[in-house]
Amino acid sequence: MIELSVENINVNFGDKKILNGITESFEGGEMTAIIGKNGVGKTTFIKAIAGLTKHGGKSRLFDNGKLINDRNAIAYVPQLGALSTKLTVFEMVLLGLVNNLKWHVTNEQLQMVDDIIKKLNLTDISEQPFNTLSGGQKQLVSMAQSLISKPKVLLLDEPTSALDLRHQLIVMNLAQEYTKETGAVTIFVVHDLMLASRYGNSLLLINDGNVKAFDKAENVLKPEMLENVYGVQISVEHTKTGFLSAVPIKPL
Amino acid sequence: MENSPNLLYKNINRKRGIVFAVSIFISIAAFLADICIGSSGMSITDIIETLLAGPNGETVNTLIVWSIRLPMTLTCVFVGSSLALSGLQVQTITNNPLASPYTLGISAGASFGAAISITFGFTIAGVQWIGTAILAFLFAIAVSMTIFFIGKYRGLNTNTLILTGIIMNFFFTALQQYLQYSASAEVAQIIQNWSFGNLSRASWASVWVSAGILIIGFIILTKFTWKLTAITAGEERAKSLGINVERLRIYTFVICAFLIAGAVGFIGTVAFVGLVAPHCARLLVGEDQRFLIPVTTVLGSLIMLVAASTAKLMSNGSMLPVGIITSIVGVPFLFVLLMREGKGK
Repeated sequence: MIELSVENINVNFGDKKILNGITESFEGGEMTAIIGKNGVGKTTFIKAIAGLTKHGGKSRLFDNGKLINDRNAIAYVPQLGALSTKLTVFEMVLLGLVNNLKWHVTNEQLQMVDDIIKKLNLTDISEQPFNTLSGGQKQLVSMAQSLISKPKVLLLDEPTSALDLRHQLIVMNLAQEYTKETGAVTIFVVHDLMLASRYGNSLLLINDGNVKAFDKAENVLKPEMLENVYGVQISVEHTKTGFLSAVPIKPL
Repeated sequence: MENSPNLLYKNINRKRGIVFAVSIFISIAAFLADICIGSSGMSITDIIETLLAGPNGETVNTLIVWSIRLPMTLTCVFVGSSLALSGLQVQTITNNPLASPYTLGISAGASFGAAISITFGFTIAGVQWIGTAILAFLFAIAVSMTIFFIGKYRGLNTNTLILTGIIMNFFFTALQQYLQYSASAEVAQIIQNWSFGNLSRASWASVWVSAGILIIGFIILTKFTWKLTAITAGEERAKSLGINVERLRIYTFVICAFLIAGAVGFIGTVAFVGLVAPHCARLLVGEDQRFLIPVTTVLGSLIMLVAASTAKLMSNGSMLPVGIITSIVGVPFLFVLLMREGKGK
């Protein structure tokens, strides 16, 4: 059983306080959606967990109660930016193993890349340059790059932004499958509240650097709470298919 | 099974290996051609015989080949390789295809450092070339560090990068002109030649030093191949893969400053080799630095050899500075790159 525990995570950029001491615990095999307005520190929070931003407080990872001190156990998948690299899909995925690569790449390493490319249905584009791919394909390649090292914690920064509906589901299903299969802790930042409730076992609502709520979707997606945080009138309903839907009506 | 990504990848790498072998072969041909070209009209068989006979012969041919042509041609090889390799790596660490020793003004800095040493006869332990190389290095590192800090605090997009290069080039050109203006006619002539990259200053000392720096730089850089490749996949991604990007940048800048000083410190500013060679190499073998580093290096020497041979053929005996040729070819190349960059954004 994997467990990620963060204690009093705080981050300042200069004089500006971004996170004021977040203390929570995340269980393996579960997905947590981080939601909140722009600029409240969602990305900063997962970057702090990944050790990519200077922060106070502790972030500790346990596997069956044993403390794990391996930086490679945590994978952070950045938001899809303007990346013009001409590395091929195969090479991008291979780079996920960068810390163990020598001049001669072993057959075992090549096989690992092969396996994950096949699993994610990227076989047909394995020799295409990354900069020629569609947004959805790029996101899948990014995920493959992170998943190849079998991380115990998977941190996804807005994995579905700029993707069409089908690719949103493909990417999120992949994360979900990985989480269930490996018992990893998965945390994803997302703006779309429907995706948050659809895939998050729980939702972490951040507001002004503090945790406003951390609970199951039906307890977080309350109209009063969302109106308060987002400043919009919002209607929350259960769909016939059993999902929770949050429809924004108008700004307040 | 033949569509297996793994096998496709191995196939592509095999082709890249062949490209490398072919480029070496062409470079050797260009090397021999360059030795053959000159005003004395020796035949290829004469040249090969003289080369095989070694440097201790008594004939005029021995003197021409071993004391004049061979040092020039070898300097060409190492200077071209050093500039190309440093060009590739400054492109990698600034993540910008328009970066190169020349466009960033690092060459101008190194060239000015060398000019100071020549003007004032700066020597270390009584040897002038050590003083020249060290001053060239100090100025190259000063410009590199300036670029590093600008990048750290402002980010290195194409605009900042090109503007930094223009500023550096203006600044050092002005300083060099001042030196030239205040120097004696004889020294002024040397500095003048300097700004074009003139192979007539090549000597065995320049061969050994530029070769030594190139080999050491090459070996160190090959240790970083995968990390450098990862940087081309984006800075944030490289960081998230556990790479200390900042430290890698500093190391690489220092190695590049050495390479540039070793190249520029002896023959002056040679423009655009560091820009053109990495781009051609990328088109041929992609972004994997295990192939990109060697192929860029070989192409750099090839470009220099072709430029030097052209210079010799065009000037028919007198030495046309090789930097003029590389500039004439390099400017349109930079123009095309700029247009492409502009479209991409």
